[in-house]
Amino acid sequence: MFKFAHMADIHIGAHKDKRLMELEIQAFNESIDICIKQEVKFIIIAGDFFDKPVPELEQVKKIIEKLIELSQLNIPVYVIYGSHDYSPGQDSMIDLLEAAKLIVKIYNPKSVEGKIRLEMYQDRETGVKLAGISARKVGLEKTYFEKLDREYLENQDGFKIFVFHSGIEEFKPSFLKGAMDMECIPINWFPKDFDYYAGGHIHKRDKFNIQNYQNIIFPGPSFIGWGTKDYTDVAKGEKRGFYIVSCEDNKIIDDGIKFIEIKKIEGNFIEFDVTGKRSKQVNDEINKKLEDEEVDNRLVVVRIFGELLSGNTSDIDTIGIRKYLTDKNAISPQINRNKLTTKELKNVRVSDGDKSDIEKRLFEENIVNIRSENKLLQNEKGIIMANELLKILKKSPIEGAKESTALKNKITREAIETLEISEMVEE
Amino acid sequence: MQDKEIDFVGQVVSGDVAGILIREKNVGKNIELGDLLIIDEDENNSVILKVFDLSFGSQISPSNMELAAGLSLEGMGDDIGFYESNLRNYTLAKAKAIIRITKEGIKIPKVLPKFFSKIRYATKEDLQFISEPPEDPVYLGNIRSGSKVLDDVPVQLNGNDFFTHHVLIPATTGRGKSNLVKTMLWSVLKLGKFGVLVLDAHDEYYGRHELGLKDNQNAKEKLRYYSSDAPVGGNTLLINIRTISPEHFEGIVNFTEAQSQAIWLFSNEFGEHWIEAILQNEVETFGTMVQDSTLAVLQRKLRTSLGVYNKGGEIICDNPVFTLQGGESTLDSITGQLQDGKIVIIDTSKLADQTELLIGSMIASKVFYRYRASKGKGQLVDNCPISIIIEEAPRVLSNEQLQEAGENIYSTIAREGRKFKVGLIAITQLTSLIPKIILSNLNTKIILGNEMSAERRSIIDCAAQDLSEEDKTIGSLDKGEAIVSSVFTKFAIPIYTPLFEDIAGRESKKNEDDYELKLD
Repeated sequence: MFKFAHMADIHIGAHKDKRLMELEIQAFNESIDICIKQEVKFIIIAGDFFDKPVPELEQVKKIIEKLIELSQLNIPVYVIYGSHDYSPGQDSMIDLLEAAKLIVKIYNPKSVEGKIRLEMYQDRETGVKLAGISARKVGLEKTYFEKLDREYLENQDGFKIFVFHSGIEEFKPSFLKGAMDMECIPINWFPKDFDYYAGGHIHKRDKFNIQNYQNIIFPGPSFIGWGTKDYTDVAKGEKRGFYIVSCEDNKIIDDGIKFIEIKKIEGNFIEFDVTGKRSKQVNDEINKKLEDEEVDNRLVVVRIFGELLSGNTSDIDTIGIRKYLTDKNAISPQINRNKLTTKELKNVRVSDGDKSDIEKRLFEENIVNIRSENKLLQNEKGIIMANELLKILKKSPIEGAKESTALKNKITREAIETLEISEMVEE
Repeated sequence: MQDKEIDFVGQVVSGDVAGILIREKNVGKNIELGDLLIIDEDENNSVILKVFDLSFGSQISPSNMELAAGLSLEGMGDDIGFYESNLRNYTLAKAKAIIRITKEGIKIPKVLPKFFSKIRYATKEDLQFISEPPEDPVYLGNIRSGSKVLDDVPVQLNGNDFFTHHVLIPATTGRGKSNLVKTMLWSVLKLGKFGVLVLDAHDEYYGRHELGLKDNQNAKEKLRYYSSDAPVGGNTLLINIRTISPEHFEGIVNFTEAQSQAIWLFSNEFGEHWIEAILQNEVETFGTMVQDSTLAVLQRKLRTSLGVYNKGGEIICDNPVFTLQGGESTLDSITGQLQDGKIVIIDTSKLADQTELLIGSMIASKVFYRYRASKGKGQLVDNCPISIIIEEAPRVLSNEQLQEAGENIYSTIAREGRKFKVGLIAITQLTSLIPKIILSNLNTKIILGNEMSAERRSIIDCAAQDLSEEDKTIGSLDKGEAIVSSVFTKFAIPIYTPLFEDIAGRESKKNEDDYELKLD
């Protein structure tokens, strides 16, 4: 009998808040302590161990201390790159840790007769065979899956684990249904009949079984994750953690896949519907509501939504709300205004003038209602940028052109330049 | 034009607007049903005629003919013959003037062509106006004159008009319907601008084991294939039962008023968990509003249509498609792919009839209501037109079905879809079962051979052009031959659709693996 652990999307280094930075290390340490206590034979991290290819060294140092402890106990950590900790053409922290023999990267591709052959890594103590496909930026691993030599992997014998960091088309969760640009892999591009499919990338805990593919597991983030949705999920009380899998005679035992919750933080999700209200009254009402809420030492997400009867969405004093919550010792308070609109946005005045004058006026009248963390986008520069973008988006295909791809590429390229985000867009 | 330069086939001898009588030239000529013939009136004007009937003509009286035949048959005149037979006996063709080509353009003929005009076969030059490709051309085949195919004259319709104004393909088995649809979709794949949903009841379009749409060069970008046992390259079709709404059943599964009301009660109370709630007898909230018997029938109907039931408190999904594990985004993914101008093939060959219709209804509803909402927001202009191919269309569009089960999404699309860039391609052997009001909304008909006269009559009655004289021609259409009658064509165009295998074999991707593996 042996056990192994399966973690993913740990995202070390995702937080700037000091308390969260400390808690993420505590969560990781607690996860490892549980693994040691339960005598797992190895640990799988299915991508996004770190939030960036090279995260803050202060955080990494603490992680290394724990990895050394595992190394001394001869518990190997098998890792693949995730979409966050992979960097094309340059070494990442994953490579450094591997060079230091603290982790084992199990992504070993070879090109054989036009296909990608993954050499399997065999765990010394258990004999378990592992193969993995690392993630790429913007889901480019799809091409790798397409070219994968599945037959080679399927013909291997023994207890086999396939590690991946991708969404699966058939199991794409409903919260991603609008994300049409999110590349997912059809299930039948995976090798069949592995004993366990250790997934990452999808920040929602789930288990799936389908013909030829049993035990497809996504543990979700083991701490918070990153981004508004993850903060919201934790604030709502969604469990975070990882899996420990018990095996006997080269098989997973019945009910042998157990979720281990790591609860390092309490949350509070507060919603406020502004529909039919005037912006001026909303601030008072929100402040009053917050007074009754438990926010001390909790991860707090405030969602303000609905359609204001009058006033601008920018009238809502989010700075004041955040300050109030911070003063009350809330952890990294988040304010979500994605579904906040105002009727005034819809009733804009359209004056005489040519089309470009009218467009400019519309931008001027509405830019104050557009939420952006970048204040530069809320002044004249924002208006100019919006105008430029509109011009680019209005471009028509060249007459007689068969394909729109060239136009799409041109629009994308020019839009990236206008938005001054070339450095952020890779490949 | 000088007579000697032209190979005439006949000459106008009599007739009227309904049918011009032509005497066929005897030596080496055989006018066929459906032949396109030309009368050149002068340098700038010509008339295209289409042959719809053939008969014998003779200068010898019938009684003399009968006597001559008797002498020959009874052995009393083995060498009996006709003096100058070519002059005295001949074939008469009845043709209708379908188009007048003038310097100003193409016109519907309103006067008879010149009497005693000589007639020749139509050539590719005469039909040049057809081969000029419209915007976003959808290829249907090459123009045909009788059984002669003019390979250089492709018949193509504007994709936007073609798809959004609905299409009817009346065809009996073995007349080349699948070949036509595959060939048409092959050209659509090349355009990549139209979303087409194919509910493939025979799994014949993708080409799992043979040449198919998967072999098109754009397939990787523009083709998606869903099947309950998809091969590598396809998607496994899984639909989470929580993504099913009560309206998906409308007009597909028959519910009584009490059952419908109960369904909506469950849906309002339990949201996306309404099916699970019905299966788990969660009726406490409703008091006496839902009778036990109603609940039991609903559970049975859900089991029949979706294959879901309650076994000892656990929900079992018996159907390979409907599930509680995964499939949460399938309907949205498919809708998004269609919206993005992809062809989506759903292999329904292993599914029950009703399951196929339900899946179609789910996707069609999602597409229709999403596009309708887009129009409300002024965003419809950005959406690719979408068409839904439904085989054996009377299953959802027949008078009987619409009366028994009420309106369904397909009939709604047939009536309103055009406004929202959503079209139908209805394939049927039994046009007569579809109500006239729906048939009149299907603005292009691609008529394949049909041996049933009642069905031919229904097709002719709803055609975009007057095909009243084409009954025999339709009856005589061979495999691959068709007539395209559309509000977007000046006349009913005879076509021949080449073999899909020939087109695909010629154009399918070569050097498939040009991807250079770069591993890191």
